[in-house]
Amino acid sequence: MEHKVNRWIMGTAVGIAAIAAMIDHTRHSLPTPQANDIVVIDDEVDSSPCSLDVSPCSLD
Amino acid sequence: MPADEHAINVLGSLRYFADKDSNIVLNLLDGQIPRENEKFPEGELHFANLGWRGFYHCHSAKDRHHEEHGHFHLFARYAEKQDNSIDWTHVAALSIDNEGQPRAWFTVNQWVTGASWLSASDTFALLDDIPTSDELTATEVFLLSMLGLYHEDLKELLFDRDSQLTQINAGTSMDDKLHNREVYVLSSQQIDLQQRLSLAVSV
Repeated sequence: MEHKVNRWIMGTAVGIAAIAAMIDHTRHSLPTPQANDIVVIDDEVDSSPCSLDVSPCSLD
Repeated sequence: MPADEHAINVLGSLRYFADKDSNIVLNLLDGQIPRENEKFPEGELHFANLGWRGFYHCHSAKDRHHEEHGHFHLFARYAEKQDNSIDWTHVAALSIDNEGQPRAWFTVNQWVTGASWLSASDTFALLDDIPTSDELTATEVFLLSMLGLYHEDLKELLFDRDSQLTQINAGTSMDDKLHNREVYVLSSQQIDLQQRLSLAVSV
C-alpha cells in the first residue's frame, strides 16, 4: 500500500538541477506488456476498449 | 490552488517514487508484468471517492504509439443538469513512455471509453476544483496534481478535441461522429515535465 504524500517543500523554491535529478531518479525501464492470450470474441458493436468498470463497488 | 502548489505536489510524488527507485507505473505494477489491456490497479483508482476515477493500461503493440508504454485514463464525476443524476465523463488520458515518464496528454472519441460526453467547456469546468486529501495515494496525488499543473493546456486540449470532432465527416450527426471507430484520438499535447516544473517552482 502506498503512503500518503506530504507537501514536503511547500513554501520553498527548488533548483532546476534538483528537479532534473529527481526526474532522473524515476527513470526506469518498464516491463514490456505481454500479449494477452485470452481471445475475446466480441460481438458487441458498441463495446468500448477503455471504459470504466460499470459498477466497481456493487454487490454481487 | 495555484499551479505552483500543484507543481510542489507533483514533486512530492516524484520524490516518493524516486526514494523507492520507482516511478508512477512501476509503483502501480508492484512487480507484476502487465498484460495488454489489463487495468492497473485491479479495481481501478478511486481517488478517495472525491469525484475522480482512473486506471492505467497498455494497448497491444500494434495499437500503441512506439514511444508509449501505456496510458492513464482519467474520469470525473458530474451531475446531469436535467435530473441531477450522477455520471462519469472522460477528461483526458496521460500517455507514459517506456521509462515511466509522462510524454503526452490526449483525448479520445466517445466510443473509446463509452463515458458520457460533455462539451469542452463543461468538461473543463470539472478541472476548476482539483481535490486534495490525505487519503490519496502517491499515484493519485501525482495524477490530480498533473491535471492542475497542466490546467491551461488541458483547456486547449479539450477545445481542440471538440474542434476536431466537428471536422469528422462533415454533415454527419454528432452521434455518428462520437461513434466513428476510425477516429480514436481527437487531440494531443506533448509534455516536458522538467521544463514545466522548472517554470513553476524553480529559483
